[in-house]
Amino acid sequence: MSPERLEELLSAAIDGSLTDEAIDREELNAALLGDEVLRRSAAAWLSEESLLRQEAATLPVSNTHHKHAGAAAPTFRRERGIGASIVPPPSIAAAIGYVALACSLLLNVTLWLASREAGPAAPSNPTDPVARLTRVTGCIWEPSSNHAPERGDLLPTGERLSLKQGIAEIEIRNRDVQATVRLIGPCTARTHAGGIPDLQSGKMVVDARVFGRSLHLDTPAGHLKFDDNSSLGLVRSHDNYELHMLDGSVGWTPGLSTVAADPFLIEGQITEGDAIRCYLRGRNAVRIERIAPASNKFAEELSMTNDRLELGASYRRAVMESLPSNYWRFGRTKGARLQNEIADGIELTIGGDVKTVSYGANTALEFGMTRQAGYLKSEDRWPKAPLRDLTAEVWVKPSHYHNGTVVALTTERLSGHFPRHALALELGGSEAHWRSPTPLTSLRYLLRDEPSDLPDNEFGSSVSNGYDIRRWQHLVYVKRGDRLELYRDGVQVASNDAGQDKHVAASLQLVCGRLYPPGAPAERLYIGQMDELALYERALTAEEVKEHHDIGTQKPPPPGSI
Amino acid sequence: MSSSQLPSDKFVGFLTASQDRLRAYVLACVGNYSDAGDILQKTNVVLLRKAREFQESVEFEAWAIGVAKFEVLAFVRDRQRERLSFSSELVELMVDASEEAVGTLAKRQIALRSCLASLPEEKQLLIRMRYAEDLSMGQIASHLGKSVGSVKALVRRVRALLHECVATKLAQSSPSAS
Repeated sequence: MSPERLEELLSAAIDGSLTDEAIDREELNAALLGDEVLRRSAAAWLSEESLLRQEAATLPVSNTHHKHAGAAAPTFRRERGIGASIVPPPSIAAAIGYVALACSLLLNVTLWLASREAGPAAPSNPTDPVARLTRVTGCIWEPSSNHAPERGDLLPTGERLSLKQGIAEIEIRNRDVQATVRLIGPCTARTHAGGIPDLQSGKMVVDARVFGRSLHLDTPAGHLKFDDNSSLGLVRSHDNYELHMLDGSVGWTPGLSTVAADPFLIEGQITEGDAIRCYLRGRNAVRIERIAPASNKFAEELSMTNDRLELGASYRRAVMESLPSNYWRFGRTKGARLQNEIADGIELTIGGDVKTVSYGANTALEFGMTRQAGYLKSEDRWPKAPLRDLTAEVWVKPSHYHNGTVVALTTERLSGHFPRHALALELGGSEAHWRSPTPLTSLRYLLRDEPSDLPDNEFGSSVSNGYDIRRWQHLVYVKRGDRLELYRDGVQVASNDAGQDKHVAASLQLVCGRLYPPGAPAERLYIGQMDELALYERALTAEEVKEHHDIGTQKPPPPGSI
Repeated sequence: MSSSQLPSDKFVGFLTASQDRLRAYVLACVGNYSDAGDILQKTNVVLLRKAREFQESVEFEAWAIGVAKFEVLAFVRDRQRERLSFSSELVELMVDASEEAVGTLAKRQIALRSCLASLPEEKQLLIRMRYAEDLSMGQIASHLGKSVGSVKALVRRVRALLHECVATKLAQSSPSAS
């Protein structure tokens, strides 16, 4: 039982309101009977409650309160309260004397903290539901774990589930509740006393069916109580936590130190169509706001064909208005050459096996789905002179988590040396490789001036959980003077120092879909789809980036509409 | 009661000084204000009745808590069929945890006092209304012009905030393990 739930039930118990809810009473008693640490926590909290009655009387009375309450002393006291002792209360002086005496008897003062840390390891109660992994679809679990969960496994409390890819379903069941929790990779969660796992990163959907006993879930966004059949989507990143009510409703009590941006955002029911985002500082939610619900975030993303990219004339117009120096829409011409929308742009050709996929009038390229992984390479060198400002813009739909290079600018291979990189945008894989420093499942962008095959003196960074799989994403690499910026779906996700007077070197070879141009080892092959690559000899503004993304995600008007 | 049967001033002093600890102990055992009030009254009556049995060589508070423990167990035994907050089985386990908790009561009280002082004025007012004046949530809501639900949530938040604050202060004041 979480500390918040314990305090909620104890608050009801001390006022006598617990006895009206036999279910809560049973829950409290069962939890305390089975857990000595929890009993200590409860005793500490209750003894503090008793002290509070005494200490609260020493607080100053507000003038405003007197005005509201009237001159007379309040007459609403309970007749049988604990304060009705036959002995008068001690004076402050006596109390202080007593405190000094009792100080010599102090014992362990860390009970509460110890109990909080012990949370996940607490033994489960016999009445707790059982959690079992019932379905795994395309699951890749964190490779470093000693034991990958298997279908049918009972999940013990405190088990860390780290799903890199795929969908895993956990069924939680006893006679009163039944819930299916869908972990959508990549995500991590920790099992919690037979209840709903604690989401630590990524996405998860809870489908609850309740037959009498409530199902509880403590999240950084507050305490959730499932009293009815409902479906709730949860998303957690390093700095925020989202609740998306997909169906039904849940009871919600926000966390302690949360400040609501919306004054009407107070505890109550979250109902279908509601969505809330909490901004986190450490484990605590510090700010909370309403957001637009996004049920599509939780749709199963198993097929490469589910998400369509229908970039039309309006997108082309927006890109062209931003004055790219090269822009490929990935429509094929005869042979292996790709048509450049810019008349004096460089030539980009296909190497290996690259398929064309169509989304209505739009076409994209698909890499790595055959035995002969393909790539794109420029025959000409670009840029003509070193660039202080540069933008590379592209749409990608990776098929799975893998270490693949989307776009790179490299030198030619010198005898006995690998080509050297000036710029790269690449995906982190689901498994570590000794030759790749790119963190797992991250999105990495870099600048090296001088171009180098080593990460020393490199500028840029990696964004953890930096990309989604089987979903189109708009990625934009920007070098703006002394800064590097990375945008995903119109939003800046990284910003880094780019050093003083650093440039993107001149006369580089453009490579897409692998780390090195042909002639060097075929490493970090990109597997997935790619579309609309544009290079600019200037830094796009954040507004332009967002505008391009927004236009790109607009649905085209139906044929024949005016 | 004749003057010879009256407890000594020293005994009354001990009893008076022990009320905080006894009250906290009993409440921690049974988890309900009303029941704890009844038990404390009975405990005080028994302690006064046994005043003459008390030997000054014995530590008063340990003796008083022993008496209170007996009264707690007698209370739940007599009311086994009623829906008490804590079942009799649980109370038997809580008596030990509660005795341990009151061992840190003095330090907890100092911490709590400091935490209360650091609360903003409106939260102090809320705590005073709820805990010192014993107003119901409805009464507080009407005083503050808020809904009962929002007052309940506010009280719970402030209470939890205080508990966190006390726990932090206790941890800071305890010697490091390393």
